[in-house]
Amino acid sequence: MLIRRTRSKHLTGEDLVAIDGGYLTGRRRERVYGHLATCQACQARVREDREFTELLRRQLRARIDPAMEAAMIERVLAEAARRRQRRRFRGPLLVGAMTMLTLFLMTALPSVSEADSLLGDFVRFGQIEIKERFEDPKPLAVPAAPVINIDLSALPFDPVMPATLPLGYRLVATELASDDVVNLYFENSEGDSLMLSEGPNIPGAIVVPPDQGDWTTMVGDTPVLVTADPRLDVTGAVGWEEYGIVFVLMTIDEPSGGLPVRDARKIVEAIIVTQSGAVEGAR
Amino acid sequence: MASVTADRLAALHALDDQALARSARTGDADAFGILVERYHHGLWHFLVRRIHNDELAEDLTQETFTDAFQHLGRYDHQRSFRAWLFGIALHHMQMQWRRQRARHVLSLEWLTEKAAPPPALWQDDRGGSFQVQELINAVFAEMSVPLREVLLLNCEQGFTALEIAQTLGISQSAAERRLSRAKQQFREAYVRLNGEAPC
Repeated sequence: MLIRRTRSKHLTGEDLVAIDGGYLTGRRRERVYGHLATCQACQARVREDREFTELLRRQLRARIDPAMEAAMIERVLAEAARRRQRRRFRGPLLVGAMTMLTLFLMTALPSVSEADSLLGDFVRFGQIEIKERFEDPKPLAVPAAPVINIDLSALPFDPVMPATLPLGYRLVATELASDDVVNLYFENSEGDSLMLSEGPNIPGAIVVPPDQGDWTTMVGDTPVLVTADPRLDVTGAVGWEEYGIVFVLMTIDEPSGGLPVRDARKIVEAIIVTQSGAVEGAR
Repeated sequence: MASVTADRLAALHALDDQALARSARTGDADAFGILVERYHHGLWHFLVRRIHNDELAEDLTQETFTDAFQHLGRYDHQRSFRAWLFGIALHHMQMQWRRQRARHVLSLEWLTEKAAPPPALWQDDRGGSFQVQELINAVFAEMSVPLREVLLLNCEQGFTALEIAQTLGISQSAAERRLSRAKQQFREAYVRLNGEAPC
């Protein structure tokens, strides 16, 4: 009776994995090898699995230039030693930093309400200096004419190419990021840079993972997605999908702080107006 | 003096991972160095296959080891050291993906991103097996990430189902099921692309 039952129950894929791993023990081992002793079909499967696994192992065997690997190992060990050294000093440094911070909080920081009124609705990334830029705007320097060295006619859509954007941003460079994505770079006199990326619209193209603190805002009747993630290289981004084009506006360098939401809205609005005008004009 | 050091290193080389990790935890850089030597090759190669970028793989390998060195106190000596190490690497890789995914979305690059070609490292001096290697790359490109991952851990790194389970934080039976499915899927795709079974 027992023999008949084990005979009828062929090995599972998991059993083959366990046989290959060589860790079968106890009743499972008895069941598996008991069945194998009498079932030619399963014997063939085990053989086949073994050969197949061996082939994969042979092909996947890693090879690397020994000198290259030695250099990489050296870098790993040097970095580990450096971090360890740094940790030794972390305790005293922390105490010092806490003392300095306490002194600073007691003397220099404005009250909460004062700070709030200064910051307004800025995108905050812990950089309190961002308020300075808009309170004392500097005159714009005239940048060199942008070099448009790409064949716009080859794109599968008509890109919007504004020469200027609100708040003193001027087009300084363009690039073809791929066959159908064009990037426009804008800069202001402070050295803040924006990149406007344009590509053909794919519904739902602008997707931001839910843990990244994004929200939408309306510019006219157009929903605009605003993202703010301090983990990214960018400190703020705005995107929307309209007229068959996807746009993403992002700050790529902001020596004066960051892109405030209200300014992002102004820029977005200007581009939407430009685009709407272009599309309606074409109609 | 030099022979003392050589003797000590030879003694350390004879130790298993757990003993080396215990020693490294007390600040023994030589012990840690041996662990790095043991697993650097496999870890870097595993990451290269997963992310198709040699330089990024090196960065993540470095991050993994330095993290491991800093957090050796958290390592459970009852478990496989390499499973713990690869678990750290996978965590770093996932964080990197999140960052990269967000960046791709923001810069629109992902809209036109093509499947990454296999890294140059794969196309090495295997002579007659070059075509098989290309075929394997093509099959891997068709597989889902979790299945490809377990197949690489098992066939490339020699991880048992238990070690895979510890690396991925799943049960051993789940690891066995996943590995079994991975082999099945690989085999089917291989036969479809090749026209015949691999062996």
